[in-house]
Amino acid sequence: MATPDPALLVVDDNEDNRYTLGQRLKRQGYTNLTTAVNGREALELLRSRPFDLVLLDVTMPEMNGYEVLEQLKADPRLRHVPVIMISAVDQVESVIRCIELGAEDYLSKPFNPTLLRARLGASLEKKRLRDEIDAHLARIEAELESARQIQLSMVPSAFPAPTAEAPVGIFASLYPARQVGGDLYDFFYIGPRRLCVVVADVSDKGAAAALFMARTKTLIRTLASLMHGANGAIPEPHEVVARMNEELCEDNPHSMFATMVLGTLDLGSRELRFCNAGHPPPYVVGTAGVSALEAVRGKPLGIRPTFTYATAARQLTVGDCLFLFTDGVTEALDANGELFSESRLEEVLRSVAEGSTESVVSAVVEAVRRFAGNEPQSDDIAALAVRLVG
Amino acid sequence: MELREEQVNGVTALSVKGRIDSTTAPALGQKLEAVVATPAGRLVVDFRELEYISSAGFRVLLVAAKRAEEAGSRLVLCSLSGRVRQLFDLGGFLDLFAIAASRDEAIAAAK
Repeated sequence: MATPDPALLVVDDNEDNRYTLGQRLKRQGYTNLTTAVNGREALELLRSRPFDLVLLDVTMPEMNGYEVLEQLKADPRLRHVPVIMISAVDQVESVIRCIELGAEDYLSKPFNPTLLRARLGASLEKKRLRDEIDAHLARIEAELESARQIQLSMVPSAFPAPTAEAPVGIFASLYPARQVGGDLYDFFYIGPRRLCVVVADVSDKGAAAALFMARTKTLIRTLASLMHGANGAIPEPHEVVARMNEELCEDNPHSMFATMVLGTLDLGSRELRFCNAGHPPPYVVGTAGVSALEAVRGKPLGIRPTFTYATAARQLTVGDCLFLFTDGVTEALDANGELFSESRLEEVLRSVAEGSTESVVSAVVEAVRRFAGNEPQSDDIAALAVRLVG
Repeated sequence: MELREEQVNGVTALSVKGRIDSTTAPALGQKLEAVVATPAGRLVVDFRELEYISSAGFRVLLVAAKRAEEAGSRLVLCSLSGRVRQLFDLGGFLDLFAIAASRDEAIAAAK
């Protein structure tokens, strides 16, 4: 027996048949038996409580076995209950029709105890395994869903409106490819008028990348704040990145790595200082058009602690919008295996050059979604826009 | 992704065809580990028919390179196409591996 006392339902209009089958089943150890005298009663019982298997007579008045089966298979709540047809020896045609409709097997009268045991056993075991898989999947899904909530709440979701003190508009979005992913964004102030912005991409995707993302994210703010000297000196981006690299190389036996762009924007001078560690260059969208912030690209973080990094600078003006993103944008795939690419991204950025930071990020994300169509999201996506409004 | 293995003068030449991504990288990783884990391991990975490699792929290559360094075995990549070379370049991976232009050069370097 597959499960401890599975709930069986015997449906047969003939009392002798119900009795005989009932006795056979009891003798084989099945004690949780319910009987129904016709299709209507059977459907009522099936809708009232769970059953593990139905033994259904092919020939009954009013509603025959085929018609009962039709109703069962049409009801999403009952569709998965296994059904074994009970037939007379000469009813092969009817049995075939029932099996084509979804009945699992059949037994013909008079019942051979060996065949009865074997066919019941097989159907019940299959149901048990399927139920186990469904329960297991549900547990995993629930766990990943709660991990997702935690991960999405790790990145800032409050985007303060520009003020006289901090004349910047900011907006960002994070879209893991699966429930959780390895991309991140962050923005925070080091000192009163220095805005630090970061976008990073951990190798691969899924749960492992998400764990490394959490580690990386925590390090950024901690290191930036620690390196913010007692005399108020703001660390250079490459100094923070180099320190992060050393940290991420520790206790990293599986060679996880992260690419990153980290920049500090001086809201007074409007100078952007930034460091690129193996990451797609961010864009500046301004009145002059869209240009990529090309600079020396250091190696991804987490590979070798001795790698060196460099800081580059770019003078921004009022109205400029800085756009940081991960390659989930440029490497998004459509059904033909074509990449979204930098040129499409530049086109979108040009088209929303004047818009709010939220509209810039949404426009890019929308364009990627439309491009990919029904293709599953191929990689995690993070996008962050910062506009100098004063 | 398809893997094809050949022995050439004591060097294992592994050809990788198709795409290395999250789904296929683990299988490649296992294959690489099997050869580079022993000090006598000599492995050439031929990317002539490789169309694409993702960060998941770079990670398994990094793990194998680290393993080779620890074990004293040898790992040489070869025959990167334009597109694949660009992916290596963008990620800064070109100088993190021993890369030869052709399979013959790679086999010679791996011995």
